[in-house]
Amino acid sequence: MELSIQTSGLTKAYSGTKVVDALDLAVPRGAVYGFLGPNGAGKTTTMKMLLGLVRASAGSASVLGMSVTPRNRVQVNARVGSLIESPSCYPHLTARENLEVVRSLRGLPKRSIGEALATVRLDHTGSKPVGAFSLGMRQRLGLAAALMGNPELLLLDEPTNGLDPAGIQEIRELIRRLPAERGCTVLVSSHLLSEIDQMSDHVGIISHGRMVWQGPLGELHARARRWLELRTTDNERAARLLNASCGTDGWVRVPAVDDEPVARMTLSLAREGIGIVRLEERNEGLEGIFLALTGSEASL
Amino acid sequence: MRNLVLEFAKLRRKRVPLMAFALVAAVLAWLYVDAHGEGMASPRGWHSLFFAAPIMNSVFLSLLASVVASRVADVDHEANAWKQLLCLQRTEGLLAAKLVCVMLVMAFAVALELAGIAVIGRMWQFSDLPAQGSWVSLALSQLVSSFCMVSIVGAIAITWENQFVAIACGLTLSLAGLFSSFLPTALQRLIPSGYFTLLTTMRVDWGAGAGAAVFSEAPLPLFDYVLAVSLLFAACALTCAAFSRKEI
Repeated sequence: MELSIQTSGLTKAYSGTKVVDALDLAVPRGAVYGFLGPNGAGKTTTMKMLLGLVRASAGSASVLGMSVTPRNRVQVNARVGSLIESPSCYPHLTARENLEVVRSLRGLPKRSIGEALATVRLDHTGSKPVGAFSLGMRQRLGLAAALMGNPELLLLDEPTNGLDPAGIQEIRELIRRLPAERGCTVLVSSHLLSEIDQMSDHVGIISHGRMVWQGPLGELHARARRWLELRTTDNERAARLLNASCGTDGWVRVPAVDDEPVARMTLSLAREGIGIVRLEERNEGLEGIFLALTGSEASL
Repeated sequence: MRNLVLEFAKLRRKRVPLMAFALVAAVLAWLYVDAHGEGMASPRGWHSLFFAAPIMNSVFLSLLASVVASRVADVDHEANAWKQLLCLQRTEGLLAAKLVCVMLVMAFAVALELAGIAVIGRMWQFSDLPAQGSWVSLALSQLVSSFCMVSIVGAIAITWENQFVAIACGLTLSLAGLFSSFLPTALQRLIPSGYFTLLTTMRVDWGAGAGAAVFSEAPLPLFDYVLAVSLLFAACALTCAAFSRKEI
């Protein structure tokens, strides 16, 4: 598997406190990699190290096959687009003038500004200064700047911050489409599980600066505990019979969910004259997995 | 060059030329009053202008250098743009572009002021027109002094996001510049805005002739030029080194 980003033992410590601790990140080429972690887990610091804006205390980082150091960051970032923390916007300039700064630095043709503005639907803003933009519009402008020049890799730090629900949906779809439409790899950080679940195909979960799990999203879902919940004509007897628990809410919870045990279970209940009123499959979802991996103190 | 053009583009609508015009106009207004005092066709009018201009510049050009240097750094602080810029630009290139941008504004202000002095001198038909070398010497002294101020206030403006620090420093130096010419030369050399008068070649002897000031031209103060240029380079090198180590 070809990797766009690979880190080995990447560590950042401030005054002896490790913010990122021996992180081994592996982002496959062409993936939308969701970088998930509670606030303060070390996501932004990791991204800054990948951009060469912050020096690593230990370990190494390779981006698009190039080792990243503050010395060669300009060379590496010529192929990388990024939106870290809040977007860079000159409030006294228009959206077009703001993108002109990026266009000039990247040496792109003039038309790239119009294309980028159209992609994030800011092409109607005309001579309005960015200082008069809403938070969501600024976020879109930041995204437009990151997308300029079709970078091979995009590092997006909580890109949907400040957007309204429609904007969030739109940006999610845009990010999801990027690998297919532009052939780029996306590393997108978030502390929102649902967001990562909807956008990513690979996930890395970081907690207290350490990578606690990474791999394809499907594998993460497969780790989820599943169970059946049923309501019967006699819940207590059904629970005894199935050796299951009966909650105060009246539902009987059975851990098995495969076809054959379920068939056996329904038959045995029927034989005992217990009717099944409702039968539902449940799983703990990403939130449960996340909390199990990061510890219950993790705040989402 | 591209970086320099970009710095000017970022200053769009920041009214930098207006500030330059306003502060140079203040200097010229003062010089006009000074010329008025000398009277029509004065035989020492030009020399008086050449002597008074650096004193005024130590206040007004110090102020302009501070305000412009602060503004050039503040556009990127305000835009939270350092992350983006440092991903795409080398630190040295970015800082050099900012420095040259402010220096060009100062060069524009000095050129404007010299043009204004020429107009005032001709208007009052002063008869002691200095040689071309004196004009070059005046221009050079004011440019080097302005650049010193730019490098020092610029360093502060880039380092501290809060521009109050840079502006307060600029104002202090501007006031210090006003009084620096009353200090002994050794002390004057410690004040960056003091170089506006230290580097000039026009000297005055207040008690030489019958109650009137007598102007004379001294040789180029090479030692002070060396000090001023060293100060300029030291400030630039330290800023670049400190900023390169900074983590954004």
